[in-house]
Amino acid sequence: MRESKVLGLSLTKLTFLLFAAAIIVYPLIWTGGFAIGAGINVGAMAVGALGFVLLIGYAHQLALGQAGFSLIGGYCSAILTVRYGWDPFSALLVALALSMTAAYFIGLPILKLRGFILAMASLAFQLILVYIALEAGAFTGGAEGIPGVPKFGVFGVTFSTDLAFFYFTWLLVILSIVLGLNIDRSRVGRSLKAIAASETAAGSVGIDITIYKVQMFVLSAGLASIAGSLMVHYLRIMTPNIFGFVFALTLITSVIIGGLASIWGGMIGAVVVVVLRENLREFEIPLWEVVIMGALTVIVLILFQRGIAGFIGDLVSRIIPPPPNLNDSATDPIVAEPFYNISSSGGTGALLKVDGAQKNFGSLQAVDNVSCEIQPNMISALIGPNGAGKTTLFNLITGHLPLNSGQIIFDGVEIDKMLPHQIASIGVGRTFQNLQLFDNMTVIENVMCGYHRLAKAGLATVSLGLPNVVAEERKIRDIAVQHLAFVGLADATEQSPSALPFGHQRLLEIARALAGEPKILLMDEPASGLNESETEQLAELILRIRELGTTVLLVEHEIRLVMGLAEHIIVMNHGSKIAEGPVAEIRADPEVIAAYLGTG
Amino acid sequence: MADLLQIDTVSSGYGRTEVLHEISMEIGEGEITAMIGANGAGKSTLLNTIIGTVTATAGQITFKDQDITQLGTQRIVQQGISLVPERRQLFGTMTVEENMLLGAYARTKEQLKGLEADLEEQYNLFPVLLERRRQLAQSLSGGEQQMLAIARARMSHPSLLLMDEPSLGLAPIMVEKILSFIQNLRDAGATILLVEQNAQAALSIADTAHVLETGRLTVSGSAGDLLHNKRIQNAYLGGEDGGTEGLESRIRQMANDYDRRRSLSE
Amino acid sequence: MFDFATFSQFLLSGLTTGCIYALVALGFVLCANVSGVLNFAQGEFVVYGGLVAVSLIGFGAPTLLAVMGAVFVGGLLGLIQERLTLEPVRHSPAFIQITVTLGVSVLLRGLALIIWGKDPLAMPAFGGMDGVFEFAGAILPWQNLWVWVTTALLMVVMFWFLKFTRAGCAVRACSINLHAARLMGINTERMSTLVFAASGALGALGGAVIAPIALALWSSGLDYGLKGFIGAVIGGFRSPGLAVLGGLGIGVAELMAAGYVSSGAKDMIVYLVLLIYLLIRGGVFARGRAALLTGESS
Repeated sequence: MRESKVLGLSLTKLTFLLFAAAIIVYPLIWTGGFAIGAGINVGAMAVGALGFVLLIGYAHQLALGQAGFSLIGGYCSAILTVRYGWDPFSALLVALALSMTAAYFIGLPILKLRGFILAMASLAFQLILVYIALEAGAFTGGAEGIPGVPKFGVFGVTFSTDLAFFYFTWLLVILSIVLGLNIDRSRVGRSLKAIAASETAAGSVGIDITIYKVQMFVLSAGLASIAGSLMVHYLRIMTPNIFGFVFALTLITSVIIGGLASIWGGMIGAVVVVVLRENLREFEIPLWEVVIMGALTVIVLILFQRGIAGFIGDLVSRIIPPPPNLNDSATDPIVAEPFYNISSSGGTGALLKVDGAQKNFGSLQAVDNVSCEIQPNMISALIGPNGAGKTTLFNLITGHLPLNSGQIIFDGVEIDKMLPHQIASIGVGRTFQNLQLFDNMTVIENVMCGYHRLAKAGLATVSLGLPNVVAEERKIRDIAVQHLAFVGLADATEQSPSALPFGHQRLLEIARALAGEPKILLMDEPASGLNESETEQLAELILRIRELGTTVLLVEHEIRLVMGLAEHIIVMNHGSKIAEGPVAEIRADPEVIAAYLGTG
Repeated sequence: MADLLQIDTVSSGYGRTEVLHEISMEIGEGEITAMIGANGAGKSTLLNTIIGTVTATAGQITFKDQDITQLGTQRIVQQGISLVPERRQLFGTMTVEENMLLGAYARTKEQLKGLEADLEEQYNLFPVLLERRRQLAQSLSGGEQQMLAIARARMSHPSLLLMDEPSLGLAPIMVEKILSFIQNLRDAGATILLVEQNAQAALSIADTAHVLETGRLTVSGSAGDLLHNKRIQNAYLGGEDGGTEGLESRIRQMANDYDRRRSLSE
Repeated sequence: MFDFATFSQFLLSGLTTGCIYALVALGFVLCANVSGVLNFAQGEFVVYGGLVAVSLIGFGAPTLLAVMGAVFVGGLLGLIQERLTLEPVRHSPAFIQITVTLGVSVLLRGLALIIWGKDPLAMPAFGGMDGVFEFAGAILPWQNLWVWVTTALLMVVMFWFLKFTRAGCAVRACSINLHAARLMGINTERMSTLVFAASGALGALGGAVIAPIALALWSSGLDYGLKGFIGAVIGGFRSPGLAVLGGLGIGVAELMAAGYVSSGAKDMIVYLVLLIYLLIRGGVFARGRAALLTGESS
């Protein structure tokens, strides 16, 4: 994401500098064990909170009980250091590995749940862990817990002063924020945002939703575990109720107050919550802590959904001008050279073959034994009256609905049992009738998402910020600009999709689909909502898409577009195919006329 | 015949999409007015805008000399407009009778006094519903469900009955039955706005008809005139006799140019 | 060796707590079906019911008045929650709505702590019936009877309301097909407020009537909420009747676990049941109206 520059530095770098300065300066101003201790507490929570930001804010998985992994991390650290004399840092690493492994196996089934039910299941998980901790006395020390946890140290070097521990903790916070920022600005971050905006559209560009959810679950479990280990060395004891429901609530409220959608949000929230708590204690009204946290949560969600971080972000963007759009007016879309070229698949066979497709909804035969072939490098259209089954057929092809019987073969591959994102990743592109844009990203980021199936960066490489990831990002960005120029949106790169006029939003969706260099582009009522001149421009765009080598299959109601443009038309009615052929034939076909006018 | 409903340069849509562009028309009292057009033309949107589940972004809708443009659905139903929704939208797990009683929900205490009599009247019109009054709505056949949907809508004593594609999903024989039934309603004095994709069906029973194409009214007139108008066929299947001026022709020109260029370079 | 008297003791005591869970489950189902929201604060209504009743008794009010007061407060809380905190986020994504209810539940929880303190509060049994009675081999305080009778009566009233009153029909219509309900002229927003108030009142009634047995405590909200939720889940979200059965079932299961396994582990066993059940039936919750509740993104 391109950023505005202040004093020659990008906003992020600037924030980082201020942040680092604040950390260094803090203990020099607020000396005294208490302030430092509070600082360590905040730091540990900030790490855990980042995990929540990634899980809840980015991946939209409301697994409220993720603090259960703090419990696992805490006990692991405590047991290894107290009972077996391990070095605390090594113990932390082992706890991390343990938590992340457990998270993988728990995540796979639990992430099939969604929303409130996921939240409850996750809470149940955490509470069960707390009870196990209480009951398994021999292992966990029961209600008494494990006292005598040593001070933190790294490979034999113990941090005898709290100050050292403070700096180490905040070093971890910085590293985790760097991790978070790397994710945010990468293919992974984009995919997460895409999933949050529209799972259907995310699948259509090849994003495997399950993998990303599980990755965030495991990552946040790891961060929770680190937080747990740090807390335990700060408190010097581990008991079952340290990481109970109250801790979960504290983390969640900090994340909400700080800002769910921002990597900085977790840390800001942790600071606010702890400062609040200490102040309340000062004024001797500790009981009000819970009420105020609850009230703040509600108020923030209703009024400033993006929390303090979002509020600050808005303020900043009002003061500092946004980065300029890439103005590529030099590129006249009409003469833009085709920049990718699908070589015609070797064989002479059909690109897409539907063979006896059957889809029933109960007794309704929505698609009844439909067979057809789509030849490559042609513009084909699928038409028919309302309720004919066109959209159902489309959804069968893209994998959003399973077949009852029959086969669908694309480019020689049987796709009828594949998931939508798998089908997308072998070159089936799609646009949607009701526009499924990723409103939470800029125009250019939307198109960059389209490139997903051709890119490689994954969570591991992205977190480390490896140079080939950076290079790939730059390449994807350039390609996205080209696609935007191709559809005529080159001057809108940094805008929000919802700021575009409707016709341009349709073009954006097409650009996104093209970014995946699809062999076939399925367009679902692309002319819907367009006026005559926009429809004409759309027709030209479709012709130019065909020039790139992409085969086009349209479902469309705007009959003039279909009749003027399509080389091959398939007509459906009541679930069956009733005609197939070129325009003139179709228009004169009595059965087609009857189907539309109702005389049949 | 007085105009019961006036629609004046109304534009409407969902979210960012504007589906209807400056529609103006009138519904005459005691008539069947048909609105036909291809799917996606905006027919359902028009009905939804009238009944208030979608708010018009511009223009005015007047019913019995009252401006109802900004009113909510509850008030509009109380004023005397009722909608038979597309695909019926019955309360499947409730009985036939419960569905009908719900149709009367909007009536005031005064009006509720005649409830028993009204139920009887509906059962007289639809004897099959009487037979099945205690059965669950979802167990009825397609045609019976359509009848129930109409009966339910009539229970609120509407002065204007809106019908959204009543023929959808019904076998041709059932469609005939429903159509003749709608005619009977009109003969008994009802005012009906009928939206249909099945042009033939709609025009065969309507008095007045309008054609909606991509959100604009293109042809209006008496149903009899429109029935034989080639323009209708064009609205559905394209192919204007307008020669080289129409959208379809321009697009075809463009396509031919591209094809020519392609064959030249091969 | 199987001892019938013990079994009966557990069963019937479990039925009593189950009645409260059933009321919570009912609240969940009503709100879920009509408003499309699952309310984290559902359990807090029970807590407030008990605490308010205790306070009113403390001010010298007769039992009936105290209970009525508790029910009134519960209904008021539900109403305020819906109008003030949910109405503004009606069009926000589901996970925001859920988190708002979480915030409200935390708020109520904290408020209860401040107003009533951290100790559990006791309330005399209704009608001064302090003694015990014997039934089917079990020995139970009379208050249990009050709970069963109240709950049973409530079920009858609810059934009658839903089936035979105009408003009740409207509530059912909303849960079957919200859009069609709107077309009937039903004010769906008012219905939403109504069910929230009703679920608040139901929960509060439960809290008031169980207080003489279980004591009223500021922190029990999560527990009641979670267990009532389990009842609603196992009963399936569509039917209030099944939700009630689910709640009763969980109450019995919990007490059986406490009695036959260990009282410390009873919560864990119940939560384990929930977790396992959800993990097995995971995919099922993406159907129909329930899909709304499970937070489907568009």
